[in-house]
Amino acid sequence: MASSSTSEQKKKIRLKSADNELFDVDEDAALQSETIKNLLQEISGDQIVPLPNVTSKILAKVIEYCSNMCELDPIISVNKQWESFFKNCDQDTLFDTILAANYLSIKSLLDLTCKCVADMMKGKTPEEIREKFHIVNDLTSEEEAKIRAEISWAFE
Amino acid sequence: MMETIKTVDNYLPEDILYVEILTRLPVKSLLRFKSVSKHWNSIISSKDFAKDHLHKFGNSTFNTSLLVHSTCKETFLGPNTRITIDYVAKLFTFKLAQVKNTNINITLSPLDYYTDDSIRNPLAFDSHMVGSCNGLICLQIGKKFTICNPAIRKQHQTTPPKYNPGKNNLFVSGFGYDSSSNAYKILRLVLGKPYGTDEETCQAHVFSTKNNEWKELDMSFWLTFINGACEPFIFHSHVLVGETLYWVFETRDTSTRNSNIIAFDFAKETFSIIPLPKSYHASIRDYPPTRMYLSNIRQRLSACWMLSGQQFVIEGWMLEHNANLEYCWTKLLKTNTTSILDPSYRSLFELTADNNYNGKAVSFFLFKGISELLRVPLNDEGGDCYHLKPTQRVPIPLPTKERGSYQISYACLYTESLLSPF
Repeated sequence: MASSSTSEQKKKIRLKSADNELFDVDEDAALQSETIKNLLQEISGDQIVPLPNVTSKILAKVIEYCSNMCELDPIISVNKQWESFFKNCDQDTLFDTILAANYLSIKSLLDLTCKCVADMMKGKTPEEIREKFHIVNDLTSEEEAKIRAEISWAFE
Repeated sequence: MMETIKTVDNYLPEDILYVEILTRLPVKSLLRFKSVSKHWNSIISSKDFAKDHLHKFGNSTFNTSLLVHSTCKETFLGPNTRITIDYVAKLFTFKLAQVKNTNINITLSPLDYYTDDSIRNPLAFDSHMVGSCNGLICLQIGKKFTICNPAIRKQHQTTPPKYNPGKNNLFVSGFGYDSSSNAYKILRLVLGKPYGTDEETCQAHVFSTKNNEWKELDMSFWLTFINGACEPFIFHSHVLVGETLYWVFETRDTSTRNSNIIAFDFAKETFSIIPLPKSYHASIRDYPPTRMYLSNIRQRLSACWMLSGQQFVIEGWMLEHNANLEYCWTKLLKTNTTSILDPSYRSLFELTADNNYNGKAVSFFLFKGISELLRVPLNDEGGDCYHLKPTQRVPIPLPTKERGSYQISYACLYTESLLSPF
């Protein structure tokens, strides 16, 4: 659970975002990312970890999330707060965070953000899904009618 | 926000969209989303997706329901003032996540899905639950077995081979999955003395969805077993753990209760005897035990029994394998709470820890014949095993009918899936 080391002694990792902004992050927070963990093994000592796929805006959020997860106390309410943040943020932030969590390989963040997208989709109609995600319907009207007829009760 | 919206298909990589997001959606939403586009239709209809969905959606305790098969016996005066008895069976589910620390109020959702008149509704009359696994439910109605997936409203019926009829035949059936052949299987076992003979015989058949056929099994295990028993016996409390089905097999005379756990491996299609925990034999020396009941706790077999002496003691043990692949039992729980426990309790269900429950496990006892659950918060500060804290009664609001009321005949955990029953 909570580590006994004092905050002064905590080792910092320096991360660089796609737009060249630098972030100094507690090691235990940074190590939640499997990708950063692997990168640290490849580069020596105090070098900067480059993260060319993540913008500073998203990286700041991801670091905040990882730091929160390290505090662990109590993890449930922290999780609930983040869930409500992702449910209310704009779609770009949510999707960019999913991409970042996937690239950085932070499983809990990927699970949480994907769950938020799934929850948002759950009660929607196919039309709303197409509109929300700008998907072109390439089914002919006959094909669509056939699919719908087979599962008409799913539209009740 | 409007001007920056991007297409999910173009924006999120396919593996994230299909593997991480769509696999978390309930079945009903997915069926609707088949009509989003050609690509979505083919993804959602594929067998691989059904499996991914089973693992992602089905692995969340939040999506787990308790499936309750309940029957109602209605007695009334029919035409010519003859007494008529009518059996009606119904399936209900409720999300275990509904049962929170306070304000327990269960809402049952009926699984009435037979809208197509061409299919005879197996629940419209007497039916009997064989088992459930991966969102599929197996029911026996008369001589026939039905495997159905109520979430996608598909079912498949099969008639087992004939058996030699006899007096006091004992029927045992079970349903499970065999990953080695990627098939769902039904076991039907008939034990007894056929008419005109005086010899105990047994016939066992297994149905596989792989080839849609029934196959006869070798019976040497049973012939040895029942010839040594020389007493009437009963089977009860069957439970599926992984790909193995377990029953308690015991002599009918309760004063000399002699219990055994029998296992059936769906992959190997063989039977075996599981040795009982040592403490079972030690504890029954002093008090006659109640029936032993089996449950699936954390994907392990668990056995519980109560001793009826001056107080009820319930012990629960979990079956594990040691390094030499021998069976060994680990103590799971012990309580001597006398106030609420009742010897008619039947199954133990556990709601495992997830982030909705503050990391704490919550367990339930289900009472036989009574429409009630017991919520049993576990206190894991007790050292080697769980000690039960004071319990809380959770009524299950089964419907009542004019001339009778529903009683629970079977309950198991259930998570909806997209899997086809054939």
